[in-house]
Amino acid sequence: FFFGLQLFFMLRLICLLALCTLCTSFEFDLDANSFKCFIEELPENEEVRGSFSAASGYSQAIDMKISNPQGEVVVEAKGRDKDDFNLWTTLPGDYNFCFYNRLVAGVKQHSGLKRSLTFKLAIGQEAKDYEQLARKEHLKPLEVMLRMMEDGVRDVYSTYHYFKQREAELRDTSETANTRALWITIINTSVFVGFAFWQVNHLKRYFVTKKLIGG
Amino acid sequence: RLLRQRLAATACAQHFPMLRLLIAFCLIGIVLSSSLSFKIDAHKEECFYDDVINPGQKVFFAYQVTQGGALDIDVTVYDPSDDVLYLQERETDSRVLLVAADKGTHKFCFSNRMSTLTAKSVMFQIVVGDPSENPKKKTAVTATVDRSIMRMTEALNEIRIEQSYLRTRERVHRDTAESTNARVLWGSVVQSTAMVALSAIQMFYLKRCFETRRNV
Repeated sequence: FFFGLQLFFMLRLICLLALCTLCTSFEFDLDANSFKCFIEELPENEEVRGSFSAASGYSQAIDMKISNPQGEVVVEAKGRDKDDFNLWTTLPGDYNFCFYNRLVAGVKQHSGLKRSLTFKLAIGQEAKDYEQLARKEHLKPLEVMLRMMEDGVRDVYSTYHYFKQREAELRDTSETANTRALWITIINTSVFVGFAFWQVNHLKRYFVTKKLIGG
Repeated sequence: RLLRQRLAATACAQHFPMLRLLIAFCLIGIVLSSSLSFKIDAHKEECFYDDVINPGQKVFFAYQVTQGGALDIDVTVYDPSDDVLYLQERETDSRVLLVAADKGTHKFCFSNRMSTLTAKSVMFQIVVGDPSENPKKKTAVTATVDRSIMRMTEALNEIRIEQSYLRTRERVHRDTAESTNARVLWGSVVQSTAMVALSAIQMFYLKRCFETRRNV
């Protein structure tokens, strides 16, 4: 019974958390015939859960497109007023979460025509449903906490690992730029000097042929 | 510089003091691992809204400009009665813990009015604290395991905060490096072509000068 009571209150808490205190959540206005994109850099093998919901809007349809770092659309929702999505990242990089406000055909656009969208996003550990996990595996509250921490640490590690790779690429880019700058300066200088010599030589020959100077 | 967030469910503490574990659980602070970034065009203003349920709630607001021009942006936060709660002009990055005195919809605005042409990329994070939060109450946790877990959770949160800051810095550096790389290449190509072309023009013009003189 005691365990049940504990579980009940823990579940109540988790429900509170599920009201998106543990995720990104905000509202924004989207004008008719326009779009807004949000970019999030994600490592691979990361779980992403999110949802959007649009306030009432007169003859405006909302489309959502989520595209992966290579530009392919991985999740699409057309003309929905609200939707949930679940995504496992296969590639590391920039993911675009784009919302489009489409005016229904035949309606003329005028200023002030817009819809208010609420966007919720939970990444990695934030996306996990601990309530369900606790129920399924009969975990004590302490164990759930430990699980949360374990997932949190794993998140931190995978993000760190991904950014370590990016930093290595950054270093390579910087070194390439540096080497390039050096070689280009050398080539440039030799080209200028060579060209200057050729120029003077050419003019000299020209003047000699034109009998302006003796040669 | 480190800002901590505590999510303390005092409801638990008040009614069921024996559920210490739950309290410790509740004290897991909210540190998000995500910061969304968006693009803001020149002369435009982008606003985001978030609801505050309880008056006096803490709101964590962080932003960083990652791309574009002088990496500066104007930020204003309005409370539900349209009074300015927070105003910061031309800052690259900032992290604040605001106290929302009233409940209702708060408006977080970014303005790129100072830019003439360049669009800017801004990363931001808005976290509204837990409704049952009471930062003044510190729960007495006695069990060693609970204390260890709490310490570990706090440490983890601090790691996450620092990590998210470093992430955005790395991104800015990456953009700078790639831009440098491209600039070095194209600048040199343009430079060489210009020099060669100018010298050639110079020479042929000179030749023509002498020719016309001769004709005269």
